[in-house]
Amino acid sequence: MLKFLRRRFVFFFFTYLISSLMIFFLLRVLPGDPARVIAGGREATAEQVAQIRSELGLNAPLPQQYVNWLGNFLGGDWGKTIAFRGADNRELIVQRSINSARLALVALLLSVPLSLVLGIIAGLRENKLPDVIISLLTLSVVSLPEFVTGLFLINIVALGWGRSKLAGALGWWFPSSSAVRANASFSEMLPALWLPAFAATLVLLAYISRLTRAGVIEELKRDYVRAAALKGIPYRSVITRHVLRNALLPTVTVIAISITWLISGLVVIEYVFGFPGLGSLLIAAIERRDLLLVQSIVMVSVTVILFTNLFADMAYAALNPRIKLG
Amino acid sequence: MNPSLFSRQIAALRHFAAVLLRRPQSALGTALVCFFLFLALFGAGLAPYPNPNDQSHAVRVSPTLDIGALRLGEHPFGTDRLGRDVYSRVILGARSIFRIAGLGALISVIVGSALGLYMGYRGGWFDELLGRVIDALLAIPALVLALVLVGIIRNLDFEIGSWQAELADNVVLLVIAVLYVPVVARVARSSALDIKTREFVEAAEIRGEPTTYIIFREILPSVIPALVVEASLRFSYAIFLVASLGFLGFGARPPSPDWGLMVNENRGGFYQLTPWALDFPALAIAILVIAVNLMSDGIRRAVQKGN
Repeated sequence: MLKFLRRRFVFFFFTYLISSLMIFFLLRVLPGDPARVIAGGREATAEQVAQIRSELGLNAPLPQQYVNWLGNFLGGDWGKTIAFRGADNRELIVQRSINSARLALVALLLSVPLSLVLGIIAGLRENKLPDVIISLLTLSVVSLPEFVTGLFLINIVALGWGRSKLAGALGWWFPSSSAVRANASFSEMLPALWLPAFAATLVLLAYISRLTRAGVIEELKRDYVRAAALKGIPYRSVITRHVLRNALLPTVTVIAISITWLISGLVVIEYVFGFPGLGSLLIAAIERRDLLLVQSIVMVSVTVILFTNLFADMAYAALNPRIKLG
Repeated sequence: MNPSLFSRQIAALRHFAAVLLRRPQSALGTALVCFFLFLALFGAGLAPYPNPNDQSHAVRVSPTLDIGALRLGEHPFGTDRLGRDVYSRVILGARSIFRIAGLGALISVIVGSALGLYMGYRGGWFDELLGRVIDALLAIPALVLALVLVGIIRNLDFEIGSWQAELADNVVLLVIAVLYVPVVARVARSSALDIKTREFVEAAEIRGEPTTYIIFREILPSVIPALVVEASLRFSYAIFLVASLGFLGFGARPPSPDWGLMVNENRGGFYQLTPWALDFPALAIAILVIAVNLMSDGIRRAVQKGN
């Protein structure tokens, strides 16, 4: 176990180092002067540009700038934004990350149980009618871009429901926009979370259920299943006690991978619904050319992804005694 | 080329096509992709208004399409709030998505396979180092990396007409190529690792053949099936990414008839005015994306069966 952990940690730090190097140099080596952008583009005078250069420490050699930047990032000093009236980058990113995490949480709570059930049904009834229906449904949903499903939910579900008589009678509407205050509490935010979370659920649903289905089918073919059935153990407990226990093991990893997926998907979903999360912040930061903010956001998402992967590896190893931890 | 070898390849291709088209879902997907490809190639001749920004029509005309009567009418998909014919714009928009996604995927497959085959064949520190870089690149979500790269490159000021400006105009295509090189390289590398221990590779080594000969003439033909599957997968991801970037405002600039852009321009309050100006491009994206997925799924199955 120790050796395994050590190897995973070395991999983790190495990957972290290289991705931080890439994030820094990609944004710095590209032609174009960040100081000039901050000073206001072509109209800025040479003095203004020079002043901003020295303020940002852009006169130091690049390797030293990288070390300073990474040190500041790890130390929690992420600088001030240009785009959002000089707010503190870290406060801004932490607040938006919490919002995105709430959205992701609701999406996972909706999608994981639902896709497990669908995947298990499809796997147990391989190539029968339920399987064909579920597979066709998930295949067409997984291929739709998030903005198409998102706009469908806004324009057809939310607006259509809002116009219907039933909504008036029940007095219950879906908000068609999720542009809530960024610092709202979870319960205030919850009504605005349902539709974007549902859009994210559709993306995850197909992915998790297809892998669950594959796991169930593979386990059903094993000898121990036949042995258990021949011993006279009822079908139901063969499935629940033996097949599902083994088939659902890889799902831990799948959920971790789907968080990586979710980060990309949330960028689009948050933009479509106008939700104040990390993804919509990233788009705003790029549009307003706020380099430091962009770098910090990308670093935060890489950190989240690497930690979930590390955690998934450890959880998988802990749950599965068959894995040789050498 | 050796004629018997040539006819064998034709026969293999025929067999592959037959297996692909035998499955109804795959056949449907392939047919739809061919239909959109046709639009992309010949759309300029098919669109009733070849200029996508022709505003000489009444604004906000409802769709005149009548499926029951098999009638297209003057503006089958209606006109948008600027009086542009949505039908023509949807037809003309097929070209850019095919060009960007197709060329981007093609470049990434060519560069990625060359890189991956070399990594796998050569091994050693070169493979180890590049492998780590690829791992790190893949830790950054593709869409996030694409947004950052496109956003920054597009905002740079270049002299109009210079080669940098040419490149910046094709930034989405280049970014897609760059993004998928590591993914393809990983697949090609693992295939090369598998093939390089075979006897025919060892024989070529003993004959003293140069490395490029071994990689391209001995290893490459054996890994082509895996690369074909990867290429079709990359194409479907690229279509998805181009549409998403267009929607987020990081693809084509207005007033291009780009599907993603059209969807974005007509959402929100405008949707109440001209729902059809959003619905038809969104439908086009949905159909194309599903079709490409069905096709690439079919290609994967056909290749697996062929082996």
